[in-house]
Amino acid sequence: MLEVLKRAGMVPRACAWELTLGCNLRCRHCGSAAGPRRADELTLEECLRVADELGALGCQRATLTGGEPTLYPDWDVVGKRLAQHIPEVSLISNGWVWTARHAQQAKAAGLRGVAFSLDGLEKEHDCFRAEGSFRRVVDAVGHTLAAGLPVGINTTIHRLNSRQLPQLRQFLIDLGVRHWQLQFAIATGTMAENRDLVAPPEERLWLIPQIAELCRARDSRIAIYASDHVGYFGMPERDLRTGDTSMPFWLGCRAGCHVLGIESNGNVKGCLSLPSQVQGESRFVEGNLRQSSLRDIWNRKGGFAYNREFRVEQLGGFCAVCRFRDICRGGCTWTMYAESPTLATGNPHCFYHQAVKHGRHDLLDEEPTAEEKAYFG
Amino acid sequence: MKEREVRQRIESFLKRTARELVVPASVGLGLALSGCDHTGLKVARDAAADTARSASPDTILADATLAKDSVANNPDLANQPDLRLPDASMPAPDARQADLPAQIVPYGVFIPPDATVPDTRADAGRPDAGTDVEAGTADARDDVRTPDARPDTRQADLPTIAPPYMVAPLPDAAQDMPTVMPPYMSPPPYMAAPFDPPQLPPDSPPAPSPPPAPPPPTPAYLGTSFGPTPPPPPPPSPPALPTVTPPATVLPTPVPPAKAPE
Repeated sequence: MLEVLKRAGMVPRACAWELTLGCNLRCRHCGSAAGPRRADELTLEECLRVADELGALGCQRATLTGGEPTLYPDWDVVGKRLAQHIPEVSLISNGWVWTARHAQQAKAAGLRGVAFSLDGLEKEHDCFRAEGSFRRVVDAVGHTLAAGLPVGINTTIHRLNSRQLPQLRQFLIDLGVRHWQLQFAIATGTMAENRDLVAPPEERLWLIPQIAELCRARDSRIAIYASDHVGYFGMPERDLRTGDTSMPFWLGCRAGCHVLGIESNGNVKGCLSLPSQVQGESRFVEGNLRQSSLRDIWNRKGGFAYNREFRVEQLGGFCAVCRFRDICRGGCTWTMYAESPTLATGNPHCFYHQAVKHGRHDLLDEEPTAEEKAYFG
Repeated sequence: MKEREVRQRIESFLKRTARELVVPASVGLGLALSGCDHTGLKVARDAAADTARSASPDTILADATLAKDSVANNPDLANQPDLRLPDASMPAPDARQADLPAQIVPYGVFIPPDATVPDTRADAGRPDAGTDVEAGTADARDDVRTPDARPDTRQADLPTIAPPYMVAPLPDAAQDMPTVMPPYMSPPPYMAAPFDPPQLPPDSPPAPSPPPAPPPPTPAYLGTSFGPTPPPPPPPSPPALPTVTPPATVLPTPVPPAKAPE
């Protein structure tokens, strides 16, 4: 519900910042189709200015990402400047070239922690990323822990690894990892060419309860977080949301309301996951930091309209009749876009959608409405 | 959580935050009604001095430049866009944000403030255990590969994936959930559903009839102990497949099936 987000303050509290689109891997599921650098990436001086602006806007958590952020020569300098303003600054890497020296640089820069991408056990990880990549991530985790930095792991769930989560969890515990974020592969970027590898929407019916159960365990050895595009509603919902809050449920996409994404050429989006010019899409770009200040872009009248000026009439498909439509607003905008660029087909990757569609009312807290049932005949 | 409770919780939050917004205005209104206007609250010891001071153009300019949001202090102020959103430029009070679940941005990193680092050294706990971090063997900046230097052919081959028409029937929800629960963990309601998971052996080629699925193992994370995961049973050997000779003619590229209407 948009009013809730407004009451909480329209501040970019979380920001994902793509330092460079350059990447030393060519992962099959890369949502941003990383590889070559952009021709017009921000210079160090420009990055430092943006870091100051981000802090002045009230950002509380910033993630340096890419591409591979360590391919930006002064990633640690940018990280250090961010850490002077923002309490939680971290970096996510593919671990391919991560050495003990990188870990020490991150520590010296004042980063809160470092996360690495690990997409399954060795075989499944390597066939999505690069041969030998799994072992390098394991080494990178060791280097980082030895430097005294907390380590997180981000796992993108797809058809090959969706049945490995319990085994992967045990592996990570043994490795010393304490923070594990789970997210689904979405068919944008390179993954749009590999749609058959996306976990089918129907699998949400057993995957999401499993993820919820992993989150619910609250094991002191590892904390597990479901990404914002995992959900929504139904019995698992409460366990998916992180934090001891009075509203432990999905409150709609926060892109452009509480979340901000910065591309390496200075383009600003509501969320870094949203498509951009690399995918031939420019409508989510709200401005460029070479032409406007971050504050001006954030406060621009009419900006981030897909969320800030949301109306339930925008929704299509099942979402248009869903009882939670004004609260959920169709779920993750990025996921909806991957289904249809018009954003009007609804979000079939939603747990509630699938439970109603397949008559699994026992997984819901209450019987679907007549309108919802009628939608699927 | 039922829809009614969801809406009640939202309503409660909105009422609480509305009260926070209204209180300052009501305080001001109350003060005004009780006879306290702003001049009454600002008691100048020497009104004549104030009058004389404010009459000077220099002091007016000086006062203006002291104002944080003055045009003199911020020449671009007049060009600033409209701020139609409440609190657009102000950090939100943590109290209000605490009512919302944490944002877990896809491809972002979430490491809470109280994160600790486990001691993974093999000699951890020994009194003579070293504390120095071993330095890296290579300079990180020298180790950076050129992004475009490596093609993606280094990736291992993808295992054969059954095409959509061969995927086993829709799995029931929660079917991979274990049946053995530790005593301190009560099963959530959605785990009560029986299940029979489909098995998609990733390494086996598409077969006309998939091999019988073995019973689902109990994930280690919900066993009675968190000990090491027992070795999995040997996978069933796939049925022998007849050798199929591909036709000599080149087949047209298959068109993906049309998306079924919802």
